[in-house]
Amino acid sequence: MRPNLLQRFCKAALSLALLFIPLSLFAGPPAGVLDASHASVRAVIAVQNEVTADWIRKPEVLGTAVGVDANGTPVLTVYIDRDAANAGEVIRNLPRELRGTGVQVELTDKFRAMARPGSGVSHTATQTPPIQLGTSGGWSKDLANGYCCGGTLGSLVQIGGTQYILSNYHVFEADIVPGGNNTVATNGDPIIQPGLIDVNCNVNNAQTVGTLVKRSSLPGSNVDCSTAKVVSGMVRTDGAILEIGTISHLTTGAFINQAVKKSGRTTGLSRSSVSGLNATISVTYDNECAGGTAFAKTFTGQIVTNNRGSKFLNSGDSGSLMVEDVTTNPRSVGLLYAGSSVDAIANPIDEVLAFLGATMVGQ
Amino acid sequence: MVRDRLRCACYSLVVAVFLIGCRHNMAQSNSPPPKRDINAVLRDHDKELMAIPNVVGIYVGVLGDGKTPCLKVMLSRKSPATEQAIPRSIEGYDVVTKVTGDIRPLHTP
Repeated sequence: MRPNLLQRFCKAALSLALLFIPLSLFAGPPAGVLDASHASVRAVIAVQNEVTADWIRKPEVLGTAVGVDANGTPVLTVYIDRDAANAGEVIRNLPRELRGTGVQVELTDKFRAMARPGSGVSHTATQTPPIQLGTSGGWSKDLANGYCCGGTLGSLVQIGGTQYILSNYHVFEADIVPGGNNTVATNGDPIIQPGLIDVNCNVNNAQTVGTLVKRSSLPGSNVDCSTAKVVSGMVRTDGAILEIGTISHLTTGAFINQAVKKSGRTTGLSRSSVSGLNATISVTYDNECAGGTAFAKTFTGQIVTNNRGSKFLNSGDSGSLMVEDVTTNPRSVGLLYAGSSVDAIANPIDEVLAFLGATMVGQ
Repeated sequence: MVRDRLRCACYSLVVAVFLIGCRHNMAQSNSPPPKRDINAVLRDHDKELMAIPNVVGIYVGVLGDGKTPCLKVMLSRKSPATEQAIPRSIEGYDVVTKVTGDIRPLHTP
């Protein structure tokens, strides 16, 4: 007689159970680990299952999860849309506790799928020369203390008829102690594309596109800039920037709510708006890649741009040129160099150019 | 004739009292003196604000209406002592705090 479907299912389930019982004896979590079998976690999950369907109907509530409070005790975490107009009211109406389970609120941006709608342009790949700017790059020896560092080769400037790649002091020449790599940044050192971070820290996998011409802008001046003399044939002589194209040789002053864009190693082409002017900002610099503190610098007259969630500027974008957000030959506004997940900071480009005695290469 | 002169004098007196009253009222409704340029205000106060613990930056921004200039103070973190030390307004301009975290150079790693 052929076994019916139910019998076959039961046999399969029994086999699986027999397989997993011995495994679980050896692979179980150590005592005290807050996994799904922990009594406190189960209690939170029970509360979560009870309330989530109801709470999440509110547009301000983005989700719930089992979290821990400051004491490490499992609690029910409720994610609230930080941009929602009624967020405060929703938070006030949430219980602090449900049947002995703590309820805590976490304000967050809206959750989104992380797959970027690819523009198809890579800002980290090795380009066929002559390269466009707005790409990964840096000092060829920027490897120390178990890390390699880099930034963005942002734009092209001209000084006395010679073309130079413009980036930041802290991208090209901030290694000022022998420290973890037994060297310091020196004039003539290769400047490479992509930066070490994008070639597994192996300089042999990158190409030399310029040679370092130190400007020692920091800590003395009010700009964070440095240059590399272009190696003939390695950089587009029209100064084209990835996803921006050619720019104007003219500059323009920043103003509040000005629409701006930039092209950089990490966040590629991104757009934002100016939120503040004439900023006095304190920034702390390392003495080499992942090194100790070299100095804290207070800049004045800086441009502040909205950078919520680091979507406009993130680590690796230093050196990017901020331009006005127009389609054709935008004018330069600032040299981006610092920020947080809230604000991005740029030197006014005119101050950078005056320091270097340079003009932008453009139309 | 005398009566006309008397009437004229009375009118003059009324007008004079009225004018004096107006002048007095204008002096009483003393409008605030014009504000200094906000960039000059920032320049004169940035050092004292930057000296407050957890302050990492100050800039000229706008209020929620998108147009009224104000001074924005960037904080590495919120703390009651810091909030208490920062004035609510300076020379007639609102001072608004925002937690930005530390401002750091944006190279990798």
